[in-house]
Amino acid sequence: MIKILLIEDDRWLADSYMDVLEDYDIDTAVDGHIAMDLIDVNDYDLIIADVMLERGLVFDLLHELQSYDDTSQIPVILCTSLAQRITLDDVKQYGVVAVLNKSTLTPKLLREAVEHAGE
Amino acid sequence: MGSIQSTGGTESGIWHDVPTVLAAAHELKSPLVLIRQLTFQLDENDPVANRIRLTAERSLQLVEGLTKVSRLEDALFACEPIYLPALYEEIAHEMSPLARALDQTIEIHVPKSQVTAIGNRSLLRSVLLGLCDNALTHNDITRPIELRAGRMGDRVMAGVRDYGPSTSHLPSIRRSIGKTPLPMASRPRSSGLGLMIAEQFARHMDAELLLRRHQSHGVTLSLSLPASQQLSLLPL
Repeated sequence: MIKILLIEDDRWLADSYMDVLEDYDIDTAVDGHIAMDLIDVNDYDLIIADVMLERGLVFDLLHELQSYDDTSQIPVILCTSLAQRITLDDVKQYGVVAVLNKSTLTPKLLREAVEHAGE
Repeated sequence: MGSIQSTGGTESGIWHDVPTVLAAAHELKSPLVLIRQLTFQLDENDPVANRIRLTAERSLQLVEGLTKVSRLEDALFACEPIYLPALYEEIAHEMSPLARALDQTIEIHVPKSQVTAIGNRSLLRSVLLGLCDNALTHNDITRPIELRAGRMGDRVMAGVRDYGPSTSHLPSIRRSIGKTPLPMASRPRSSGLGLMIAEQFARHMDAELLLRRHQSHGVTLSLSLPASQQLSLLPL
């Protein structure tokens, strides 16, 4: 089963995503520090992350992940309200494979993005 | 017959406190996203869930318009030829769930030729979505709202006709919120914020937002845009 790390500081929104992705094994983190601690002890197949988190932007974490051979291979889906201002080309260097717009996201779009990233 | 009125420029009002507007818009985004997302956990056939979702989406459209306006001064917007019938199909498709929920319909009334305008596609799309939303708010539900376009000399008029109550208070959309009587006072369900956003977008495309008040009923809110001279872009 695909193991996913979901980084989202809105717990209710995180619960909503987990409800949509109930067939997957999902851990959650509310910021980059907690996420890093989880990544240290788990092998994730995919990261789904918001951009603006409680203690800064997710890019600090993604930059760090790119520093290590194993973690640099983890595909990342950004799920953000800033999607209109972020192109995939801008963030490919961080291992990002999709940028989803929170304002227009549907359960179907989220499931499809996860399935596509997991292939 | 009716009368046509320009909204003029918006030089005052809420745009003078852009940081506050931007902060407020960003703060509102998260709860609206959450409300919208939570509706997916409800029965998809529940009309109340559908109304909650559509209301959240309309509100998100407004706050995204606000955040976009606040960045306009720093951005360059490339203008290109835009074939309006194709854009109108997109707009009608996107607005159709909201129209259905409000028991309304949207019709496209566009001649097939000479309606290619020069503008920024993203801004024009945002303006027309806003005008459409405004029309759906005010329209008499027994009549469809109409997406209209036509050539006038070297300009193209792109607009939305509704059959709601006419307004004689258009100039007040230029005033700041909270400092004047409610804008669009004869159409009390709206503060006019969407139109203020549309007007700001128009200014960045060499376009002008115009209101035509119809004596029969309702108004047409239009953008006057430069017409494209590239006849080769027209369909055969």
